[in-house]
Amino acid sequence: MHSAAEIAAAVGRREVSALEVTRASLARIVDRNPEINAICTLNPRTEEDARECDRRLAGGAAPRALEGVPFVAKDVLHTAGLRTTFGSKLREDFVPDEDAICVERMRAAGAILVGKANTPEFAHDTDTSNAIFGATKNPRARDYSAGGSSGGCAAAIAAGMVPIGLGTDLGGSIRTPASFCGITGLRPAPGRVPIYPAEFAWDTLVAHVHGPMAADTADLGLMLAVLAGPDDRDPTSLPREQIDYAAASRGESAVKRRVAYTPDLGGIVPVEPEVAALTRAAAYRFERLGWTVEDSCFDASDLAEIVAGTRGYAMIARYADYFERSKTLLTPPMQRQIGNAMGLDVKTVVNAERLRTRYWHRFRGLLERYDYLVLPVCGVAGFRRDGERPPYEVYLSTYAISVVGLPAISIPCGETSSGLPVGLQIVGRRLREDRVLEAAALYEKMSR
Amino acid sequence: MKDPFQAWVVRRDSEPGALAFGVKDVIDVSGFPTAHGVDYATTYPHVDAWCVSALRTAGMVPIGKTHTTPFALRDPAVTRNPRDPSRSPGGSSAGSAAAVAAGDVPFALGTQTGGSVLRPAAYCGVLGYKPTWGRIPTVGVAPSAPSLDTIGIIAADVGVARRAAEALIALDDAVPASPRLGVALDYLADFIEPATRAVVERAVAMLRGVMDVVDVRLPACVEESVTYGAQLHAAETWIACGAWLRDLPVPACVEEVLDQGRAIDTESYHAIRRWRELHRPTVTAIFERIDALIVPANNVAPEFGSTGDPAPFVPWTFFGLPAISLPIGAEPNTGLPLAMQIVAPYGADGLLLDVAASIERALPKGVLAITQRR
Repeated sequence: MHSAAEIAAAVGRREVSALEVTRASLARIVDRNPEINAICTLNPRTEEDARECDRRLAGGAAPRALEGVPFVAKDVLHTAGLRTTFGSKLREDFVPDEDAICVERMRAAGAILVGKANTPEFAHDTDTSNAIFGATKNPRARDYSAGGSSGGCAAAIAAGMVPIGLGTDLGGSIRTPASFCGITGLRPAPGRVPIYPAEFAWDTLVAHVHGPMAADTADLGLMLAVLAGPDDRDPTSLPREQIDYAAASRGESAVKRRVAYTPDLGGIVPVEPEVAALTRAAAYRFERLGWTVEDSCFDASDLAEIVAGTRGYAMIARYADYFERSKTLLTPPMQRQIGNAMGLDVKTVVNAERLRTRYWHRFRGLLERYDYLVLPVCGVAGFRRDGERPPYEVYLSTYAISVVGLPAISIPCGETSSGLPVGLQIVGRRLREDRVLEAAALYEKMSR
Repeated sequence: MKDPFQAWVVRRDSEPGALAFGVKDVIDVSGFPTAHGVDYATTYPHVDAWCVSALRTAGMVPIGKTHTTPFALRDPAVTRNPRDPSRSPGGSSAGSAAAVAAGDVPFALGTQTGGSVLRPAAYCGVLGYKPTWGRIPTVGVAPSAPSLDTIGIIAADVGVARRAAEALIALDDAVPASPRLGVALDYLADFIEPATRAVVERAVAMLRGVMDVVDVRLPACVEESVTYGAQLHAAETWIACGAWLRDLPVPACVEEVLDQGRAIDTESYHAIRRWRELHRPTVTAIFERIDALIVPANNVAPEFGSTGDPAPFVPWTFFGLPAISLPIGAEPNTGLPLAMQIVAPYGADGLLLDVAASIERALPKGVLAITQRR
């Protein structure tokens, strides 16, 4: 599969039609999806949408940024006229009548929605499996989980079905599956990609964000350029910035930066030795660019308390009604998470917010001295779908970034001895997705 | 400069007026090499470790590096016990404890992953304080097992420990007017010798007259954590240091820990971490009816060559609770120092220091005066 950038350029120059690209993508899906189970619903209008692209170009219209590029959207993102289940029996037959803003913007930029990507129930699990569509396999290692919760997107891209996809990330749901499947994914700053429809327009306690997933960093930049920008339907969306994300993701900057590396956030994340070794080697590779790389961290020791309180709020906000009305239709992990949250009192939640504020100032202090914090995406390279799950603490390495809304990217940085890909997480200063893309692109260039 | 007990790797004159301190040689101090207790792994840091930098900011001055056991594990350091040079000062913060016991500095920094701050302090008859895990960032300190590693303070008394702590930690927890102490004299009965227990019992008897003291029973997971703590230590040492240490000519105990750690697979490692999370609420519940806990700390220091048993200190390191070892007297046969351990709830460092100060005041001066035998 060619990259989104290559496809858009070729379709734009009319060297290949959007229809041909779409048919190639569908052929690949027919070939690989029955085994991998990454895509749970195909868009019946795919070929029609592609023909519309081709007609438009034939009529002399200027090519758009993602002209004719096939993509998938995670099944928690609203798609007009196309079934959107949230991976839950409770929403099994839901067909939205409008697109999520991110889907709308992809389509407006010429991209072709080929289908919905599998998700665990309401995107709340680290393995992508649900009661409607079953489990998604990891194309890089069939017995292993594709990760969660955007595992369907990651697997579809890793298996070459589509070059790009839209995921969502609360505690690591874009970055973790990207790491497990050996692709790239970006968690933008909350508000960068407006969220609508949303039940809570002001989602202040650790929001889910929508973001791009792709085979390489250049495509992430191309997508973010399309996805970013304000929209009044999301009252917390960020104003437009004079930043060219696509250019940043080409990695052409020669400015010397400072990198702090931590394997485990000061002992919080249980990390496999191979994951620690690969990510450390990757972080120190930036020294080849003349950058400064040092082992450094901040005091993150109350992270678990912050996560418990803020996540509890989100669980009650979104699911307490379902829990009370039709508990048995929810999967046991969801029942457990909601049940735990219902046991929290308001003081606990408020205290978590107070701790989060102090945590932010410590994190901010570190990023005054360094341009980036670099760390593993996850404490493990993956886990077998039929085996015991790693403890939740292995995922704190992404959650630690989510609670303060800093932009973070996951890029592949090698393989373990058993062939599992390992993701490197690069975290940037507040609102600087461009810097994060830049570092990732420079890393990819060095690794080529 | 006189250094009869070989506490110091290197030491400078202290500046008059400034509070001088020693730094264990696994912690970076700008301008001093960090040797990690051996002669083949020296690094030359330009930058102070976070903890050193914070103490400097508060006007205190690091005057030298103190001997550590190799890589802060259990092979002995060269340091002797100032209370009896034929005895071990304990480990791994051997030089830090000896330097304070010899009166060279009012306090020194150490690190504890099992019992490496409280044990040497107890053996040398000085105060050892291990804060809540994570409260002092470990940046600039060689790792051993990151989810256990804690920077600690070895000090001449509670007042000095508190001064140092105030520069490093926000001690803003609320302290009750008359704290209630729980005592568990049967703590780790397999490890603690009767003579040790008798000395702790005598000190507690003196406290009963002036403070609110009740007897408590500890949950089984406290003793069980001794085994899990050792396994977790080995597993994380392999993860954090394996790549660094495996090709170096390390001594026997380091080799043993690395081998043990290498043999623990990821699933077993995760199982131990899961066990710890499962039992945290049980440990928290110990403090439902008491403010702080008193348990025995150490048997007398072993002969030079062993660094002693960390077991009595491991549970509190494992669960991350703040703890102090406070000298309370001498073992009758040897005249060597013994301590009690005071433990507070997770995060209650201010309360712990306050309680330790009350106990220090409540015990008669003679109890704490430990004389050097040779």
